[in-house]
Amino acid sequence: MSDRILFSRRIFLSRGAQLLSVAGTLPLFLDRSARAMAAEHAANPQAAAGKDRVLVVVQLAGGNDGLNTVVPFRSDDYYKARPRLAIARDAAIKLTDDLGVHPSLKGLAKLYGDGRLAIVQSVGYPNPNRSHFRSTDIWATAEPQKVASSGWLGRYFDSCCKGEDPSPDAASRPADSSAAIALTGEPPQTLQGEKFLPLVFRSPQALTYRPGSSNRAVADAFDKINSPDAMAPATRPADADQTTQFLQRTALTARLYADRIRQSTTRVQNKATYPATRFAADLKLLAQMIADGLPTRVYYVSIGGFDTHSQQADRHARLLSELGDALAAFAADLDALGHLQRTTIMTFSEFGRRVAENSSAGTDHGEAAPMFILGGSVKAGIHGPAPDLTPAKLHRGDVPYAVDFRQVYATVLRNWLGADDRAILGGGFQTLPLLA
Amino acid sequence: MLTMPLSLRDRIACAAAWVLLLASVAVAADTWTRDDAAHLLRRAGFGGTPAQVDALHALGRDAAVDYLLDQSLPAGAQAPFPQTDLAEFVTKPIPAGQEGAKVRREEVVRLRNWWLERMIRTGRPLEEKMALFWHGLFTSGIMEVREPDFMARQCRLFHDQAMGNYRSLTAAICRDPAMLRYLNADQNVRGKPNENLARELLELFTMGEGNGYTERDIAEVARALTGLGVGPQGFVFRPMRHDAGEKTIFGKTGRFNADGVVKLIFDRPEPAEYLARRLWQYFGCPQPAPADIALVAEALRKNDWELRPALRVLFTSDAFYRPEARFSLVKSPVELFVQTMRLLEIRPEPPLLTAASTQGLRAMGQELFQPPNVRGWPGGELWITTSTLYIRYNSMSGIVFAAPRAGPATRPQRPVGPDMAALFELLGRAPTPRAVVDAAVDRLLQRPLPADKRQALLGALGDAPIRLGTSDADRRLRQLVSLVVSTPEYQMQ
Repeated sequence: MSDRILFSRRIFLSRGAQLLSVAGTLPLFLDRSARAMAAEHAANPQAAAGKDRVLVVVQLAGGNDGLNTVVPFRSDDYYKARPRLAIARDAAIKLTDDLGVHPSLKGLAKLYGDGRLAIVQSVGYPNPNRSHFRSTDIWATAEPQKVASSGWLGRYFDSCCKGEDPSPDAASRPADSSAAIALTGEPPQTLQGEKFLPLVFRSPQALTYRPGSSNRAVADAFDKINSPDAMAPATRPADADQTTQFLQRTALTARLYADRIRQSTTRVQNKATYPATRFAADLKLLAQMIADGLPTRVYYVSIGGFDTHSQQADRHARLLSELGDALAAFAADLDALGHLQRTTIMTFSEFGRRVAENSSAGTDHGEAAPMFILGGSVKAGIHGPAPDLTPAKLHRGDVPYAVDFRQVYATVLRNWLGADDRAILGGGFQTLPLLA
Repeated sequence: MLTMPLSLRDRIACAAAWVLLLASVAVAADTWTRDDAAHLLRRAGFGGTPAQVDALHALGRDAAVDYLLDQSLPAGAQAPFPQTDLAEFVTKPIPAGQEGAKVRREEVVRLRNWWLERMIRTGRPLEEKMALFWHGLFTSGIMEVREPDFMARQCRLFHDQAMGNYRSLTAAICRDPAMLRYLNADQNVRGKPNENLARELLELFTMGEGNGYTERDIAEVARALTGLGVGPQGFVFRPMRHDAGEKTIFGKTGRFNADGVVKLIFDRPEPAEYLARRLWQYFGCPQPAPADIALVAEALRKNDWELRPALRVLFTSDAFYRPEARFSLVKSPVELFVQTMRLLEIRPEPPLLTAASTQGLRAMGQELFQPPNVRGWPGGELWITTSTLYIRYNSMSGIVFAAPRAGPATRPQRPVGPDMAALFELLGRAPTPRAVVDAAVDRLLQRPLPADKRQALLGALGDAPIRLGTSDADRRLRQLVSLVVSTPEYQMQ
């Protein structure tokens, strides 16, 4: 199947109802904070440069083959299960005595050598689901047992980052939309709160109403018709109202932040050379926004194509080069720009793939897989146990999980974002020593 | 999806639906209003111009639905749409080598233009809406399928079976070369099954995720589907690759093949509920009430999976017309484009069509013949992001500002856009600004705007006299119409 972009399958219906409760006060607040941001920046561009920690989430959509990404080159079972697809022992780039990475991941291997890459092995969750969509939901919502509407980072933004807003009802308000930016086509569920709404765009250049750019009267009218209604008119029934308000709020936040985001791309010069791929272009833009000091705490990017059911070898090699080369350039750029210390990058995929290759020289949907955590503040090294590929130890022919992905989330929430991971994840998950 | 717990909003919507359902028992079909006709046309078609809404309204509810289902008309009634003569798509042979790659790319653009033009011109809009529905349900993408001819054949299947039979269509899809290639069925071989088609057949095409089947059923269905393949001419069955052994699927054991699997699936209750929900969400409202889904599901089962009776139940149900359902759906990009072309009465010609099919629709998130993945387009509020909202505004405005007539022969690529004087001619030669704003809102939004927003449109139009046909009026009317399509309200239907 095609999986260039795989996101959660559900429509976030609950969002509308919750927006109703905040719609009245939110526009005013948004307007105020955007103006404050612009004023601060105009007064002193240097002081405005960000100091907060930043998290970059990288989705590998389609289910990345973990075993050919982080290669157990001492395992005879690995070579038995994959006569055509296994990465040859001498081809893998060795990180330790028994683990290597795919030969396409030279960039990541170098980051490992530089002490900037942590690999968490065998990450998954109990009762794994092999549906792309359900499993993507599970990773996004951190709710393996039930269907939830909000993402784990969305819930973080529901209750944090209220900034300088002094009004008494500030605690019931979500963070400002600029707290999270996704460079995706669809809004990723990970960032979707019960109330929080992230900024989602493919290119900041798109955030302009063109007919208004040359005509003041048209621009004024555009702003008015794209503002929230003073009050819900009686002519509109409730369901439609919620969708209308969602659209109005989207239009409002776009108007408020478009200029500021576009400025980042002209003010910051990248200091590394990126490969000519779409994913690298996304990371290049992220580096500019991070270095320009946007108040954004979480950035989200996605790279698709990992659903390698057939003829996997070449395609997977290309994907991993695209991933690794872009991440290496991104890390080098942030380092040169002086922002790598405050940036942590985390990859995830909805599942790994079956241990045994299939008849089409591909692999089918599987279970646990490694995650990469990289940045200037990670504790480099291998975390979590390597998969035991002894056939009797497999779960339905898949790598069983040893680390719950919510442990990684809890670590990031508590040790990186300084958040209450228990409240957000609905329980205590043992953190891992991933961050220095 | 069926197991999703009810959110607060769902509960409110359901409760409201029940109250309305109870209240509406007494409401007879003869309360059918012009707004009802406009609503039906927005959903079962691509919206209507004021004249088309009037004609559909004049038919009454049941006759209007019958007309949309099969173009039947009561004696003496006026047809809302003219009969249109729609050409079939004829594929070109693909030459070998480099030239072949170029022709393939051109064929995909031609195929997209062909379908968009068909949607814009058709007098049978429901057939096109259903073909688009099937394209989103039984998805395949050209990037994986590679042969434009296979995609064209699948599209023809969706048109031929648009309001045909769900079970037959599912069986046909299991032999459809585009689908077989898209889901790697070709590589599903006895002894080494590839589960891709089996999983999506159950999860996305007929039953719903985790709904009535197990992982073991998927593995057994995959065995039953071995041997299906694609040759240069299309579907082939390769007996040597087929696993003819016994399989146990849904607790039944036998030497099942693809047809056997389809029969087993449609002996179960899940497909009726699954399709009924999908139809409701596509045509009706984001969160249909269980009782409304059950009515459509029942019609599917009772009529041996025929679509027309089920659609008739949906489009004549009181729930379909309840106030909460109106304007509760976000227009898909294809719907947005096609409606805009139809409501502005623009002849679909290559420059605008190609701009939409090669750039606009992809940027808005809906490229025909290339859904993002096998699930199709999830739609709803997910169509809208910070940037897709602006892309919608700008690309619809681009259509509004396209010149009304083709340019001189030296510039044949100039887009053909709407004729403002013609759109507003019923208002007379010198309409008041208020009349113009109200007519634009009525034609495009089909519901009133709050007073302050109406006032903003009046401000942009200006209070200088309007003389239709002058360049001043043309410019101001285009600005006005561009603003009306650049509203949250216009994104909804």
